[in-house]
Amino acid sequence: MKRALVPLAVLALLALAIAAPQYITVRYYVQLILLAMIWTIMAHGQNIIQGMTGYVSITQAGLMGVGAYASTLLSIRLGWPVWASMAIAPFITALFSVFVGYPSLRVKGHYFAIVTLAFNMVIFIVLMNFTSLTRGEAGIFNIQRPEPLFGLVDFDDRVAYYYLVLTVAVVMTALTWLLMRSSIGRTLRAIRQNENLASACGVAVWKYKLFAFVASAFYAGAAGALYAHYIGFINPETFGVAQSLDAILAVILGGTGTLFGPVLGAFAVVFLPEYLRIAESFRLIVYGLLLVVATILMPRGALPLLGRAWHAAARRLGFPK
Amino acid sequence: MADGATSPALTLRGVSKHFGGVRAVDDLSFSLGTNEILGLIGPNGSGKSTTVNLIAGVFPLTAGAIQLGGQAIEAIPEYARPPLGLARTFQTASLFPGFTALEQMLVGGHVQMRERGIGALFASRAARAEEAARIQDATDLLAFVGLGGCGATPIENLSSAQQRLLMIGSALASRPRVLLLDEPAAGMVAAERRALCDLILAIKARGVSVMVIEHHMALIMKVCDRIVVLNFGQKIAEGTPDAVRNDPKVIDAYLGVSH
Ligand SMILES: Nc1ncnc2c1ncn2[C@@H]1O[C@H](COP(=O)(O)OP(=O)(O)O)[C@@H](O)[C@H]1O
Ligand SMILES: [Mg+2]
Repeated sequence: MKRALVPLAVLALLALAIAAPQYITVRYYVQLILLAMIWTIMAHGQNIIQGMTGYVSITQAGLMGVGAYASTLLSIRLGWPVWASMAIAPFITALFSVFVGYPSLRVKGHYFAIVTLAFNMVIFIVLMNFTSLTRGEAGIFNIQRPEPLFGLVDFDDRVAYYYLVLTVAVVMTALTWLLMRSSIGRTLRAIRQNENLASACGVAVWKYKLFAFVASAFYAGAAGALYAHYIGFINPETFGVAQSLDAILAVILGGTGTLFGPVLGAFAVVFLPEYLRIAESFRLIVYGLLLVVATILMPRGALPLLGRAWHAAARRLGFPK
Repeated sequence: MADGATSPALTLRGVSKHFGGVRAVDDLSFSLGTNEILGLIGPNGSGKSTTVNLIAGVFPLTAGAIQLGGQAIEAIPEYARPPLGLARTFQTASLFPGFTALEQMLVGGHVQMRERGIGALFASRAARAEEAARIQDATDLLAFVGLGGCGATPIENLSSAQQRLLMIGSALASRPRVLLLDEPAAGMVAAERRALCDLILAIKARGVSVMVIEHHMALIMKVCDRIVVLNFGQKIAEGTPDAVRNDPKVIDAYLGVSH
């Protein structure tokens, strides 16, 4: 019964997301949902390496920055069509991740988290200081939206862009689902659960870990491109380590290794700070506390908790199981 | 066969492994004949598990050479040895927590998979056909090791003896020619050990060469064609079960009394 309800719940969620801009009149909320969907793409990527494979990467925002700057620079400096720039950005980001992942994932142990953290810092420093290319802290303005589609859909319209982001988020969610149910997903979970045994079973562990990291970078690159061409302005601040910690938080809060946990977590990390404005200067402290409390109260994230709550409610209301 | 007249499935020559000052394995040479069951026995800490880890490629040799079916494998990484026909189990229960028995078997049969790329991701026709074949194969093997009907059972719900059997099944799923079993009877009661004896003999009957480490002498004496005895990383005896159990050096170092 419960299994049969999952596709229905997904369809309902999708219908809600499609209807939202038509009914929500406050543009600010449409913007928040749009950003949360971009963060959903980020979080899916983070979930592939952190949740499915068990290796915490601390550079998801840095990689998002690579995607954002790649797409921006291609379209502004080289005059590429925005569509082409956005489409190529995830691949450029994935390529970058190979250079970090290859040396750090070939060795066992905890180097990976530290190397990725360092990588995020390097990205930040380069974006800050390579001013001839990135304009440093001042950032890049007037980043264009994509060209009109068939001369019909005008993406300068926020709602049209909303549907573009929704489409990409749905496609990336579907891709993640395919990965999870494939034999590749099973092998990634095996590595997370017992890397030594996976190796003894003949799994070329480092190749799978590298694949997971490169996939996570691909997602981050797509999110970065969508972000840059939506906001129209980027500077390094958005792509620092703090935002990478948010991506980790989104996965943990939502439900590590699950398909919809990161969606939930992405909405949480976009909406919560908006409601915790007063706590702006205590951001990291509040987040730290939140993380500790969440880990204690819901060690497997919010999604399994919601599942249990649903079960309890269903029982109370007398639904068959 | 028992005297190794056929070409060996596995050969160790002058193999040593030092951990700092500890000579865990010291100038060890022996071979496992094709379709033979070889026992590896000795006191705790005599280097048995280290020998298995060296053959499997968990860590590099300090000295020596290892051949699998005539091919030198000491420079080949651990994950590239199972495709050559080598499989092993671990002394301590080693499975994938949270997996079902069937999922465990499918990862155990990883090297049998052809469709690992884009085809697997998008569940192409070939990938689905292969997955179905692998599931059939795994289900048959589960029945073979005595876990018929347990495919959907989460590993955590299996008894410790069943987990031991699953480890063997998972190793067999790679279709090995050489199987290394490290204390497969650990935590089993007498009846379960007797069933394990039959299983090991049935594995041999399938044409697999088996090296088995065990402390239960009844099991070792029953299934082994030959036995190698280790003490302090060195081979102190080698021969048929009868010869080994009456060897004064072995009785002195390990058995205590004649079995
Ligand atoms: N990874 C390791 N690092 C350091 N010492 C080890 C390691 N593995 C085994 N040893 C040592 O090597 C010796 C042999 O151990 P082992 O092969 O596990 O013995 P057995 O399996 O015969 O009980 C022991 O002294 C043990 O402490
Ligand atoms: Mg041992």
